[in-house]
Amino acid sequence: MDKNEKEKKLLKEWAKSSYKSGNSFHESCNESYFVKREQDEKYIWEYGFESVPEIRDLLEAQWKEEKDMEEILTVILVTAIKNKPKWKVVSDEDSSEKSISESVGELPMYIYNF
Amino acid sequence: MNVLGISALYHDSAATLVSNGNIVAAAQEERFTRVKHDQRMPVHAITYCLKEADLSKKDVDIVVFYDNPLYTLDRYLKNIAMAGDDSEEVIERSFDSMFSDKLWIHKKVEQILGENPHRKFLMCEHHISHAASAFYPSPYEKAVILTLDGVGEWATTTIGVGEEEKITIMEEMRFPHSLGLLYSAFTYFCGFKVNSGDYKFMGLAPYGEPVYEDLIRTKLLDIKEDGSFQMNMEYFDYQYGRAMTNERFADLFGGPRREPESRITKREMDMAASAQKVVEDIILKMVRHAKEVYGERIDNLVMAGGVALNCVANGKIKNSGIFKNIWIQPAAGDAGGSLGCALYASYNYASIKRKVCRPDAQKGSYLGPKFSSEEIRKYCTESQYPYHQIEQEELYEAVAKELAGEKVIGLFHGRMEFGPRALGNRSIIADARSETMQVKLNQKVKFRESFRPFAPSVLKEDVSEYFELDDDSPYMLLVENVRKERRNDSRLKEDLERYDYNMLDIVKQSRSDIPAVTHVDYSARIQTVSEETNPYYYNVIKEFKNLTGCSVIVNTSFNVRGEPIVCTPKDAYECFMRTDMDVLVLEDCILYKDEQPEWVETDDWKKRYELD
Repeated sequence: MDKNEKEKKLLKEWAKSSYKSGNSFHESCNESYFVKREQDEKYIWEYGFESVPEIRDLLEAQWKEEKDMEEILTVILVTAIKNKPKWKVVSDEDSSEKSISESVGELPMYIYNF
Repeated sequence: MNVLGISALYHDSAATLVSNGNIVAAAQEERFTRVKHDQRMPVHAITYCLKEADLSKKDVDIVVFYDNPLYTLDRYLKNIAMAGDDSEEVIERSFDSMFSDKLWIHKKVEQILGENPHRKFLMCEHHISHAASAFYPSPYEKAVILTLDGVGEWATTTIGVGEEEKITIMEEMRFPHSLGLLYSAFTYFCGFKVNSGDYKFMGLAPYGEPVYEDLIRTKLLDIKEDGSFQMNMEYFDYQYGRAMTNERFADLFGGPRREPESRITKREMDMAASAQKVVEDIILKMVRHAKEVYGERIDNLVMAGGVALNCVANGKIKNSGIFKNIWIQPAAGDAGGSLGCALYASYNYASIKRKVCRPDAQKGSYLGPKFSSEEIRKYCTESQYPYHQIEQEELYEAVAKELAGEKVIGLFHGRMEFGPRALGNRSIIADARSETMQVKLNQKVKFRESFRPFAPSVLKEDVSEYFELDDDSPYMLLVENVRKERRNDSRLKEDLERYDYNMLDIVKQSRSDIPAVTHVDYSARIQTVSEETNPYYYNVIKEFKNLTGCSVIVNTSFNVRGEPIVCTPKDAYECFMRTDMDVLVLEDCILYKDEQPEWVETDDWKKRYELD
């Protein structure tokens, strides 16, 4: 049984209710598809969290004023904590995670590997 | 201040160690695990970097990841929303990777380095990692920065400006509209593997005619004068996590996708030519726009991101003269992100002052492991492999004589290259004057497709005698033509028709006096070799010139198809014995094939490497 089955189901339901078309090809654009960036933006941050409140703070800051994302926040918090890696020291002798080339079959998975 | 940069969990994992702002070591994980494009946490690469710097795990002050997992989570979720009813595959495909690995990257690193409350863990924006990898090692105080890749977080292209320690991203294009993914879609449709096959697709382009160019421009893209564009996503499926292209795309190009490993037809040749032409046009428009808007007083352009490995397009940028100078990060793909983020953290978090180095701070990209002559002799002796140790002064001449005798040589010395190209330290080398060498190397040494060209290494001071290039190209990132007076007459179009588009028959024809490195359109992907950067390799070519009068040799990566480039003497020996290479040079030791013991393997080694 997939331990994340419930969360995946909730994500699917959220996707249906939040659907937004990704194809804007036929919408008009006058001069450019480049998006301007703010000039005083930060590009590097300290990162790390252990608990629900800590990750909640990070995500709330990222999604402030994004109603769709607020709706799914609880599901994301639960999923993140449920999937927290178990502590195990990894050495170069026992790096045995499945490699991508073993797991993808014919499709170039890393393109979709968000 | 020791900063460890990490790229991982997407493709081409790597680690880079930067100490007090200097690049000390960098390596891709695939070289150690022998799994091409390995995406796992770079445990071996990290171990190597620390060993190279003689540091222990507790000596690492800052670890920086080359991507922001929270932005990536944002894209993952918004893609799910874009898929709506069709979201199942998007959710499934990346769920575990997103929630078990990427979000917890700090814990993954702790698993490798151990807990240390004094160590800082940072994350860096993906395209800043690319931009930093392009700007900081370059020899410029100030430059316009162009990054182009498939996608990182949301961005697919950025234009920025770098000055001293500061980098500012001015504008960007966002997923799903991506030059990298557009090119990959064509690569995929023509039956090659995305990422590793992009290079083959580029090599196929000169065989074709750009007959689909207008179709691509009108049906698939809306390109603006500044090079920005939108893709018509009705023809692509990657946003749904299924495949790169869909049935509408196939209908547009007259039928289904070419089956991998099946015969390449005129259609694929023409699609390659068409896609390459459109991509070049877009990049040139972007470069022109970047110069006009941000580079009024800047003569320098630096580039990174996977698309910056399109060396044909790079040659066009150089020849356009839009910028006076151009520098491209040799590890332009995601592996190089580890280097970029480590430098960015050094200069912008640890406040170390950047020092501009000439010719650059990349050190020839020789940033990986090295094995001493003693280690190599011990390995050969213990394995009972016969070898001849040669004095340094005689070594270069001995290697050059073998080259001149049309022997294929595995050359292994010094530090391993960082990035996808072999630059003379983990290379297979051969005589560029040989008319049969290209076919021999492709079929009996590399076990790869017959149409693929080989690259030349040329003495830096002689480059303009052979090629239409009067500048340095140390990282094999520029394509230019062989000089007119060296070319033979050929009529590619007529020949293709005459031979029913059988590329092997075309490749067999000699196109210049250095035929093994002259592609069907007379182009060549050039590496200039200088005495300052790589004296060993320089002296081998110099001796070859003394013997033959020719200062150009073939340089191809030391591996077979699907295998990562060799890292250790053991990898090199195995590759040597499995192929039709004649001679193996390990530092100052020469091994001849006919003196080696019989090579026996219990299984089919070719099955270990997935075809790329």
